[in-house]
Amino acid sequence: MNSNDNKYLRFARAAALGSIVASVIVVILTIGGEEWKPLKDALKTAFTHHWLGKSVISIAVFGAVFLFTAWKATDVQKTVRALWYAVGTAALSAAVMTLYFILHALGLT
Amino acid sequence: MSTILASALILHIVLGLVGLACIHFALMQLIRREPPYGFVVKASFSAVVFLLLSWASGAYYYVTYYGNAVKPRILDSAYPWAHQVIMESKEHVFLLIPFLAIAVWLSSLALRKNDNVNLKTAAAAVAAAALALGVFVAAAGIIVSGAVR
Repeated sequence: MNSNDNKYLRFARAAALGSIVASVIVVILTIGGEEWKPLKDALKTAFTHHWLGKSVISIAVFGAVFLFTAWKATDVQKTVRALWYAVGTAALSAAVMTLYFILHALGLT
Repeated sequence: MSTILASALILHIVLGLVGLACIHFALMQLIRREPPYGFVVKASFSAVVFLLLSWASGAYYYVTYYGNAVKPRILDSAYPWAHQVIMESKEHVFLLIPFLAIAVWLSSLALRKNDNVNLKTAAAAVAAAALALGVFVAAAGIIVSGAVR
């Protein structure tokens, strides 16, 4: 079977890309919200709680990226690359947010 | 704490741990030379479902109770860092995990139709990342619970 015929290959790449963008958005909203209070307040106003806002926006971003990219032709190499980037982005996002909250608690941000 | 809130907290923990167990099962099969992809698909799909349910039940507890009743107690305790660092990191790192689990599930569906060693390795790496972040979140939950007492 030609790899391009495998719709799940496209879906896997789309999920990886969605995960990458959602991870970046979570980091931006989290650190941005702490550093710029109007952003956190806007999330609270729109979603009743800033964390709910981040949850809804991350799901929406993941869904939008998935729908936008799931129908584009791909191959194994592109999908593998996207999956590895998803691993790197998630690990880096987790490290950046944790480091930020350590520095924030120490009063260094 | 009301019965509904206590149930939501227990469900959040149990569903999250079962979700992590499922992603662990998927990872353990993905690192085999010839994985049983039918099992990997089922395990990773179950992980997605359990993690999403854990997200929903945790959200209910966190939004309606934690901020008003638990957070002030931790901040007034001898361990304010348990909220400032551990809980803040936990609640945001958690948001990354279900998306990784979805990528593992869809990758395992692709592998079932088109087995490829590079794709299998990448899918295993995504599963390992989801598991590692999940263990971090679970450990953070234990620390936060300890700080409340």
